[in-house]
Formats: sequence, C-alpha cells, structure tokens
Amino acid sequence: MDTIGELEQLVLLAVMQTGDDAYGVVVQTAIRQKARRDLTLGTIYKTLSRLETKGIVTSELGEPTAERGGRAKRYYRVTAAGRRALQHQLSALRAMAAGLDVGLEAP
Amino acid sequence: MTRIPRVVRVIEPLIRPDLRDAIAGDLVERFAADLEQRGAVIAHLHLWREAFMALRHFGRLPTAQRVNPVRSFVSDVRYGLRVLRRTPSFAIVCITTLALAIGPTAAILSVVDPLLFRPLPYGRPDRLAFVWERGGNGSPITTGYSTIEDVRARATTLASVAAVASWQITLSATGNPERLEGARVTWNYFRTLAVPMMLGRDFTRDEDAQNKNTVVILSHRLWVRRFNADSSIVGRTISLNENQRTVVGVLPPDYDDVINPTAQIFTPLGYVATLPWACRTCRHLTAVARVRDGVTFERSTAELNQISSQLVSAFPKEYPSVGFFLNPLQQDVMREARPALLAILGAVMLVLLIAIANVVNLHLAQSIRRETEFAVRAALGASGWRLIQQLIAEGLGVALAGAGLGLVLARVMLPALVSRLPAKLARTGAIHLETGIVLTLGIVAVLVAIVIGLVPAIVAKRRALYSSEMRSGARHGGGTGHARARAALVVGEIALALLLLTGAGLLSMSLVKLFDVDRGFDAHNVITMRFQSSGPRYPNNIAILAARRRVVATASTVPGVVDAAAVTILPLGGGLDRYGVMAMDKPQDHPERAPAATGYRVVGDYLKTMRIRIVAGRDLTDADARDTSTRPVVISASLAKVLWPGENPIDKRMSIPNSRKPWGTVVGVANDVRQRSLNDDDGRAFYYPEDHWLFPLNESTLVARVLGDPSAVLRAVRTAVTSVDASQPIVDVRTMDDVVSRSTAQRQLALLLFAAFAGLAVLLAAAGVYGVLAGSVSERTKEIGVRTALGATTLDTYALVLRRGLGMAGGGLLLGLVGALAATRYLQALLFGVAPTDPTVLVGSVAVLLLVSFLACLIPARRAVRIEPMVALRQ
Repeated sequence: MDTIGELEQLVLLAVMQTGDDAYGVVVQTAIRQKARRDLTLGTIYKTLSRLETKGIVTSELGEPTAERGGRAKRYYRVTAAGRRALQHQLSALRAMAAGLDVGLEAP
Repeated sequence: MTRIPRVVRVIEPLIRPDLRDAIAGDLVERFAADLEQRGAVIAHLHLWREAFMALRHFGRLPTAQRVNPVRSFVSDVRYGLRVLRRTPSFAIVCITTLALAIGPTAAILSVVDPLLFRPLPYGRPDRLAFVWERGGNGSPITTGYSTIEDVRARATTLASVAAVASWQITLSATGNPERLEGARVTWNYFRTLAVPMMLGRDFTRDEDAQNKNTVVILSHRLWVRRFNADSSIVGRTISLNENQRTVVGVLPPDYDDVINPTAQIFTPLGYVATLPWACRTCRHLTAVARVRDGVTFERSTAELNQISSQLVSAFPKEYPSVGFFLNPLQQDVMREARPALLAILGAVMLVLLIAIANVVNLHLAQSIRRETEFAVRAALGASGWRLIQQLIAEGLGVALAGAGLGLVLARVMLPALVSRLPAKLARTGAIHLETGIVLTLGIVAVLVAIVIGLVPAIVAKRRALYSSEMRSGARHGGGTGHARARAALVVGEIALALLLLTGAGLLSMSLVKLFDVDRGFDAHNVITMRFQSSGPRYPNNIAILAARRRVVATASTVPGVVDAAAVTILPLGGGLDRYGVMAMDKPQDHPERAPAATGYRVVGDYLKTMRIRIVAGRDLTDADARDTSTRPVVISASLAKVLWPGENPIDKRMSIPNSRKPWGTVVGVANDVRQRSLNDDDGRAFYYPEDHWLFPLNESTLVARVLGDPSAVLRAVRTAVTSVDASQPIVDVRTMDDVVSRSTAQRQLALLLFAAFAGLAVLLAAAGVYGVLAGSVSERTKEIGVRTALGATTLDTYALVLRRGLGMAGGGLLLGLVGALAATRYLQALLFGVAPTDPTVLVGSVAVLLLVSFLACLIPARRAVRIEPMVALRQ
C-alpha cells in the first residue's frame, strides 16, 4: 500500500468531512475554513486525481448546473481501501506522538 | 445562466477533458462566490491565480510541445476545429469566401489546362504542325491537293504530310437518319498523328483513291452511341447517304480530333493530282505534318519556303505569294480561344487573391480579439513559434474546408461552363476536374493556412503579442501594426476588384456595341434549319433542286410564314464559301490575287426573306434561275466598290466560280451584311441562283420569315420540310437571332465570367472595408466617446469614420487604376468598339467601387455616431 502524503491527507479528510457533496469548491472551502490553508482548485484536483489512481478515492460526474454555466460537478468519495489506509497512517502517527505534548493525543 | 468569465472560456479547451467540466465549473462557482463576498478586484485576482494553476496542472499544450511535434500538430488542428465551432459565423464566412474563389479557380483551370497546356492526345504532339500557304495579304490560307503532294515529295524535314477536309454525311442505319459531321482524310492522317486504332485497322494507301474510298473509321463515341459498342462492327457495312461503306476501324476513346472537333466518322479523301478538284487553287484542304525528330521548326520552315519559291516560279498564276507557315498544332488550334481563356484565367486568379486577402484580414481581426488567450498561453511557456503553429493549424481547418467546398462547387460549375463553350472548340471532351488540379488547390489551401498563421505573427512582432505580459482584454488591443496591415490588405483588394470591374465593363461595352452593329439583315422572326437531299433518289442537280424548291414552297404555305428561301450558308453561321472574283472588263493577270468574296447560292427570295436591302438594280427572281444566257447575280455594295470603283456595276459582267459558264451579269446591288462575325466588316458577297452551280450539293439551309413568335411556327415549318422527304435528317433548327447570338458565344462567356468575378470581387472588397472599419470603431469606442463628450458633432464622427474608409478606397482605386491601365490591354483581342483605357468604363468602375466602399463605411459610421459618451467611458 502507498503511503499518503500530507497534502493528500488534508484533501482526503476534507472529502470525508463534506460527505456526499464532495467536489472541488466544497473541498477547497472546507480546507480553507478548518485547516486555514489556501489551496488552489488546480492543486486540489491534482491531489484528487493522484488519490484516484492510488484507488483511495473514486469519482463520478454529476448533472450540469446552471450556476456553473452548464458545467457538471465531479463528486469524490473515499473507498474502503482509502479509509483503511488513512486509519493505518493516522494510528501510526498517533503511536509516535503518544506521550508527547504535540496535540495529537487519543481522544 | 451565470456569466462565464472570459479567462475561463479561454483556458477551458486547454484543460484535460475528464476534468474540464469539473474545473471550469468550479472556477465559475468560485468566481461568483468571491464576487459576492469579496468584491470584483479580489475575485478577479483569485480567478487569474486559479486559472493559472489549473492550466499549470492540467493544461495540455505546454507538455504536448515537449512530447511529440506530430501529436501536438494533431491536437492543434483539433483545437483549431473547436475554436471554429465556437465562432461558427467566423468560420462560415472564411470558408465560404475561400470556396467562392477556389471553386471557379478549379473549374477554369480544368477548362484551360487541356485546351492550352496539356499535350494533345497524339504521339509526340510537339512535332506536329499545320502547313498553311501564304495568302495575298500575308495571312495563312488552306491548301490545294497538288501542293500538298509536292510538299510531301520534296520536304526532307517532314516525316509525313496528311490532308483533311470536312465531310457531312447522313447515316441512314435502322430507319433513323442522322446527320453526321465527319472528315475526309488522306490515308496517312492517323499515322501522321500517331494514333493507333482501338479496333480493326487504319486506312491503307490503296483505299485512298477515287472510287476505292468505300471504307470508314468510326470515332469511339459514335461507335458506342449508334452501334452499342459492338466490336463485330469491324468488317460490316453501314449505310451512308444510302451508299454502303465498310467499317474498318474504331478510334480509341481518348482520341480527339482537334482539326475537326465535331468529326465522328472518317473516310479516305480519294484524290489524285489529276482530278479537277485536286488543283493547286482548289484550296479546301488543311495540311498537317509531322516534323522529323531532331529538326527544328525553323529549319523545316526554311525548307518549305524554298519549296514554295520553286512552286511559285513553276506555277506563277496559282499562288498569291511565296512562303509557307509551319504552325505548331496546339498553338494554332487554340489561336482564337487563347486570349479569352488567358483573360478568364487571369480574372479568376485575381478573385482568388482577393479572397485570400479577405480571409487573412478576417484572421488578423480575429487574432486581436484573441489576444488574451495568446497572452495566457505565452505566459504558460508557449513559444512564439508554437503559437504560429497553432494559428497555422487553425488556418488549415478553414483553408481545407474552403478548398473542399470549392471543389464541390467546381464540380457543379464545370458542366455548365463546358456547355457554354463555343461548339467548334477543340478538346472540350478532355475537360475534367483532374487530380492534378485538386492537388494544386490543396497546396494553395496549405499556403493560405501558412499565410494565415504567419501574417498576424509578423504584424504583431513589434507589439510583442506573444510576450508573457498579460493583457486585460481584447478591447485594449488592436494597435497600429494590425490596423496598417489590415488596411493594406483592403487597399490591395480594392485595387484588384477595380481591375476585374474594368475588365467586365470593357467586355460588356464591347458586347453592347457588337449587338448594335448594323448587320445588314433583320434577324428577328426568322427560323432556320439545315436539310439534306442526298442518296440514290437524288442522282443529279435537277432532282436536288426540284426537292429544294418543293421544301421552300411547302414551307411558304405554312400559316404564319411570310417569306421562305433556301441558301447554302448563313451569315454569322460559322462557315463561309469564299471565292476569288473578277470583273470581265478588268482582266487580272494574277487570278489568285483576285478579291475574295462570299458566295451565297440561293433558291427562292433569299434577300427578301432576310430583309437585305437592295440599294441599286433589282433582286433575283425565279426567272433568273432559268436564265442561262445572262446568269443574273446580285453583289454586295462593298464588292461593287472593289470591282468597279466609281462606276455603275449594273449590267457589268463578273466571274462566277464553279459555274457552268464563267461569266454572270450583275442585276442588283445589295446592302453589306456581317458574315464572319459581328466585328468583321468584310461585307464582300455575291448572291446567285443555285441552278448555275456546277457540283451537286446535298445540303441547304431553309430560312423562313414568320409573323410573331418564331417558336410558335417552328414545329409546323419543320413538319412541312419533313413532309417533302421523311428520310432526310433536319439539323440545326434555330432562330436567326440565336445564330447571331451564338456567333458571340466566346465573348458572352468571357463577359459572364468577368461579370461574376467582378461582382464577387466588389463584394469581398466591400466586406474588407466594412470589417476594418467595424474593427476600428469598436477599438476606438472610448476615443469616440471622449470626442463626443468634448463636443464633436454627429457629422464630425461620420467624417472620422468615412475619412478612414474612403482613404483606403482611394488608395486602392489609385493603385487599381495604374494596374488597369497596364493590364486591360491583355483584353484587347476580346474588345470591340472600345479602347482598353476607355475613360467611361474606368470612371464608371471607380464610381461603382467608391459607392460600394461608401456604403460599407456607413454601417460602422452609424455605430460610431450612436456611441454614448458615458457608456463608452465607463467601459
């Protein structure tokens, strides 16, 4: 299994946060609000398509909408494998951070 | 629907297809949200950043450039097509413009190429030549059989010499008599041309003798049409003039007789030098020779001139002057059509140039509008060359589509064009849209595409169009480089349009003047048709003339027919019987220098039927036909002037060629008529009763003057003629008006094409003027707004726009006038009654173009006037 980079983690978590409605602008907004990081849509899509080739997310095209000038949205969803990979990585992180005051204690 | 920012539109096609919708849509959504929450400035800054990054990650072109030039070109073309699809009206205008020029170009090239440039379909056609004698006035004339025999025997520089005469015959197979055009040829005719038979064999030397010439060779077309391409026809006999002749051969399908273009059947001439009609002065034969390999035409001509001197010293009274002409076959055949064909070819090339200028102009304008896109792409690392390549690829789409559509147009035009060519023109059967022409125009299209790509780049060089500097919008652009280039193109277009318009004007003036010429006869309400009296039922002249009188009499009884007569040839009908004539009281020591005149042999009231005015003496009467002692003849006024200048010609005696007795008596003088063509004023003619003619004549032309519309009576007249002998075919049924009109077919075609091309050229030039002005008005909206705000009146604004437009027009017209003065002389051969530099035509053409340019200025000018200063300034 591939490891997931920092940027990938961020995007992946944002997709999970937004649930069924995860597409570019929504993901971007989530990252902006929660992580205070300003990523461009290009960067987000680049990351998402990398995740997709790793099998961590899947995507499908929605219906074209008028407020987007008749352009369709592409919705992203995390796969089961993606979820496992994330858990694996985060638990490794937590294990390493245990006992250190870095703000990553188990809840 | 939400407004889509321009930058999104620009970058969208460049984004990877699977993410194109998602990213472009997100950009739109983001932009809308930013606009609402953070204001226009921030929103725009974000948008640019987003767009830039989207392109950096998903833009295709910068990476494609590194990958593979072929693939990048394919994607360029695909992108070009997408661009065109986004601006369909632009694409349609460009493609139509090119098609309207390329179509006619292809059609005209298809006509001109086989006629003027492609070698004739014979073996080594460059070695073939006509041999003409030198006439009294130094022009080439046809030859007598004995002369040809002498040339054949003495000329060592000629490999062979053949002779050919026209032949009209009735094919009476299977109950459907048909009049055929054919040729009588010496046995070595096809050998001289180096044409092998497709079926059967060529003529033999033995068959080319009197009473042995009972064999024929068929053209491929006749063989297919009348004999169902039956190869067993060889060796069978067919009935010609109700005599039996044996078919010995069939010519190949690509055979084309350039000497007798309408000939479909060939028979041996069957002359020997001792026959009366084989004499030196019996000049009814055309001689064609093959010059030996390795011998120059000059050397051969020198030898022929030597032979001519020998002949003239041996037979001084039988040659008008010393010398032969040895004229290359193809050049000579096309001598008359050549000036018209070249003029039309030149005209269509001008149209093509104008169209290309227009399309380049449109692309220049388009490239101004697309500045933002280019700037973005340049910012992403595309080199200048890369962008030129892109433009060429786009141009290629337009040019190839235009060429394709043009070729379809050419296919449609070509048959119509061929049907309007003069009937006697050779090689028309070889006119097709050839692969070579299609390829040539394909290459032209590619060149056009390259120009489309390069010109905006060259023009923009100084302005660094492709620099990485980003421009905020197209309105901003359109600097002087572009404007100057576009104006220069329009000036060129107007100049070329003036050339074409002047040409069309000169040709139409010529045609008007031609139809205004006094023809000497009244062509209105006259029906004409050729009819035969041939075969065993007409063994001698008495029987033929009796039949002819019956035809005239029967036709006269048809209701609606006022007068009727039969005549051997029609004025302006295409064929002339010319004879040297002499006055009895003025003996000529050199008969070959006797003045030539056209002989009309008539049955019935020919002069009255044609309304040819008698200016002195009287018309011929029925009694004259039986008057074998005085043999009355009517001569034309100009012949009277030549034979008896300053004297009264009535009752004078003149020679009647081929008459039973040598002298006739002038009983009347008739007005001159136009005979050879409307522009040929040689009116020398004589009219006499056919009864006095020596030889049998199987064919005559009926002329019938009718009351009212000729077409109403035509069928009845035809039926009347048929009722005399149903076995004899009737051909060339037409009105005299039609005969006159056909005599100008070549001019009419030239005029038609010039007029069409000139119209197209003017339209394109006007579109050019309009395009440039419309562009400049929208570019200068702000300026015009400021001017208006500062007090410029409507008139000032009009003047501002008109000055620019009419400035271009003036420059073009000045340039065009210089060009017209230099170029119209190439039309000289097609002009009549008008000088190539006719001031009326020149001024008229200038006025037309000026008016059209003015109208083209008005729409942009009105738009400029309507600009609201406040709106303009806020932009």
